[in-house]
Amino acid sequence: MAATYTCPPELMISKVGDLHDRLVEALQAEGDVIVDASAVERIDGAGLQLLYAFAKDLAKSQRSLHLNPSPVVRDALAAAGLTDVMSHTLAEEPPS
Amino acid sequence: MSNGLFSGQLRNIFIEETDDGLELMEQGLLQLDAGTGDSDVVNSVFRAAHSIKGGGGTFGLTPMVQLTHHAESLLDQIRLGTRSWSSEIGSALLSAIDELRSMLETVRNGSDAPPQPSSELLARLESLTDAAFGAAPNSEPSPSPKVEVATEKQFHIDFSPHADLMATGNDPLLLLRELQRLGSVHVTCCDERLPPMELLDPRDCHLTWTVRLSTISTVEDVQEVFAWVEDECDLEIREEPAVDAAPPAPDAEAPVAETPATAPAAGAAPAPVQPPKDASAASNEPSRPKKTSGDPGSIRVGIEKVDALVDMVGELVITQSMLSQLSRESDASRLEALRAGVQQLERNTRELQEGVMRMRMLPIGVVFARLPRLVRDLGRQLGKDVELITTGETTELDKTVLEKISDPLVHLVRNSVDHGIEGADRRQTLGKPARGTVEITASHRGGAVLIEIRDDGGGIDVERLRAKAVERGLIAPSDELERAALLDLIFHPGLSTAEAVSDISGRGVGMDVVRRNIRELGGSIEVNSTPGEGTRLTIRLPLTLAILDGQLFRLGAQTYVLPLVSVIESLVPHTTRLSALGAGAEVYRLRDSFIPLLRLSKLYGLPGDARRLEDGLLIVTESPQGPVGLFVDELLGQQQVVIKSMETNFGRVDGVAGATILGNGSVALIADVPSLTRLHGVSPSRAPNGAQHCAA
Repeated sequence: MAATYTCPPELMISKVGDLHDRLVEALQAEGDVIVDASAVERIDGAGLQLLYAFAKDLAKSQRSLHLNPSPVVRDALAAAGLTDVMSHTLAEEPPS
Repeated sequence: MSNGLFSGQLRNIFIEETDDGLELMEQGLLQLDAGTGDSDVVNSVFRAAHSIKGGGGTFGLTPMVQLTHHAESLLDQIRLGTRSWSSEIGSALLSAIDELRSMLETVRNGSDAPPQPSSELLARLESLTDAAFGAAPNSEPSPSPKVEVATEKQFHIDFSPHADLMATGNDPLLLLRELQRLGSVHVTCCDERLPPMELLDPRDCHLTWTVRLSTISTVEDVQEVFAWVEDECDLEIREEPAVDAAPPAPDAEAPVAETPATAPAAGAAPAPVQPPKDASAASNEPSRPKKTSGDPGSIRVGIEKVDALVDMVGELVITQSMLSQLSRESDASRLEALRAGVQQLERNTRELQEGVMRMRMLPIGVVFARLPRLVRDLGRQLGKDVELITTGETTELDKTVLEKISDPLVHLVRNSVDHGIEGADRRQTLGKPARGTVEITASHRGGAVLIEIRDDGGGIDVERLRAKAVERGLIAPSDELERAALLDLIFHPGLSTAEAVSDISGRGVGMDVVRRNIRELGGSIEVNSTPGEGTRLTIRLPLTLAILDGQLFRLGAQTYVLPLVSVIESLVPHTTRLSALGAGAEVYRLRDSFIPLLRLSKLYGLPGDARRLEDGLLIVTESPQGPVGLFVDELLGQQQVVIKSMETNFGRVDGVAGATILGNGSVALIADVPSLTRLHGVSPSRAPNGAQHCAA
């Protein structure tokens, strides 16, 4: 059973502290992780960096991440050139 | 690192800076609109918009980002010379500033979600921007050489933000999106510096990027994207030969869907481009990096800190008066030394007091800055051509006074434009220049600040004013009033002579409120008007509200203080000149006028010494209703007193404006003349000019 972590609607520098703490705990636990970012309405570089750092560390410990991005997050990943490296974690893009 | 710090302190800084930025933008736009702006002004407006966008982005204030982005795009084209200035652009950008202000207001009130920008405005800005794109390369000869190079180029950009880039309010994501806006991009993210999650400070930036950009923009445009972070990142921008153009990556969602250049630019050699720091110094805006060189700079000081200092100085003043008193009483041998010491202390105290008070002083230009916009917008709305001249912007006033005088001034200037200045046609018929003038000046006069608002409009029609006052029953048709007294009627509630009630002013509210506000500040307002030539309003304000020059007087065993500015004269009254009006009201004949006489002991419920008028003194003071005689037992000295609020320390008391501590440590109450006259029931309508003239 994968643990699910839900991102707040605003994944901004002012709010990344909490999620960072929770994701560090998630790393110390076991099993796959689902990060539900479907409700994220705003994201900045700090939010993006946190998601990416988590994905990277999780991959190092051979665990998989399922990221469920909102359109905003998907768009931000693309702008930051992270779509390719994160593609294995991304849920299928819903048909538009 | 706490969230509280970020959302609290940084948020406040953001709000203050955005406020300043909007102000700067507005001033710049008005200069451009008036044709007095140059490229420096355009650049400073653009930069202000850019930082507002950046700040808004940091706090996730999407509506602000969206709107400033639109404004910025348009400004960018003006800056680059691909679009020439028009008043239409000015109006659209000024509207954008208004919307941004109201968004900022909601943020100030604690909201994280300011209202969405109006789609009408966005569309307006967009169409102005688009229009420029279509028109620029061919039809408009551009003053900027940058526009000539419209061929597509390839840039290789290495962008390595320093760790603190995000914490200083910048967002790499926004910068990358900015690049996207310039053309088609291929972004590669590098995570070499990214620490493991446990060691990661999520507010530091650890990622770096390499961007390949194909664009018709110039290297300066690319550099401009990073203009605000050049000290917070390592940046290299290289121009690459166009033939090597990499196709845009499939995931790059570039809004400008251009295919990479097929025709390589003939002369485009793969020249490495200078890093922006050097470039900005060499580019056509050399003033930017040193823009603060001539500026003495300023600091933001929390008002509560200043207030604490002011309080401390107040205590010091009290100690000094105590010592001063002691020196008069102590024995002769130590007297000289004590006196010298006290004199020294007095000097130091005064200097310190003045220095501290200066910290609270702000130039009145802060308020004047609101006016050009007002005059411009009003002028357009009313179809009048009005020029605003302001002088004495550096005249300083206490912050509290300044805040309270702002609205009255705006109202008065609005009145001048609306009622004072005539329409251009009428002005020409009258042989006046078509363009009307409203002039506002500020200056120091003694211990007060004088503000004059002058217009060269039609002046106040005294006869119409009189007719209206009679119609409303304010004066009797037979009343003979001097011109000044008639003019004074404009401050009466409910009187306005505007022929047509407009939505700007002329509803008859305002002038009375203006005068009340000014009086509450311890100031006064006077009106002078010459028919056909214009109106002049003169406002006198105290420099500060915290310390006042007081006239001390005695009632029984108690000492009271009266603000010295309101004292006109004092004299020994004579019973023969007193008349009783019934209901306890008395008037005193002062030369050829009658003034109400207030027995202060009675009003304050004290046993006064002076039973007969000749045993006491009469202090004639200014009041909202004109001169009033205050009957007191004895006049004492004059001294500066530090005002302590009654409301804060005790509670509101009618007839008392505050309290102070005297040199001997006793408390003295400060008499509040306006509320005393209200207590006494002095009627304003009987004496619009304060004093009614004697028939004799």
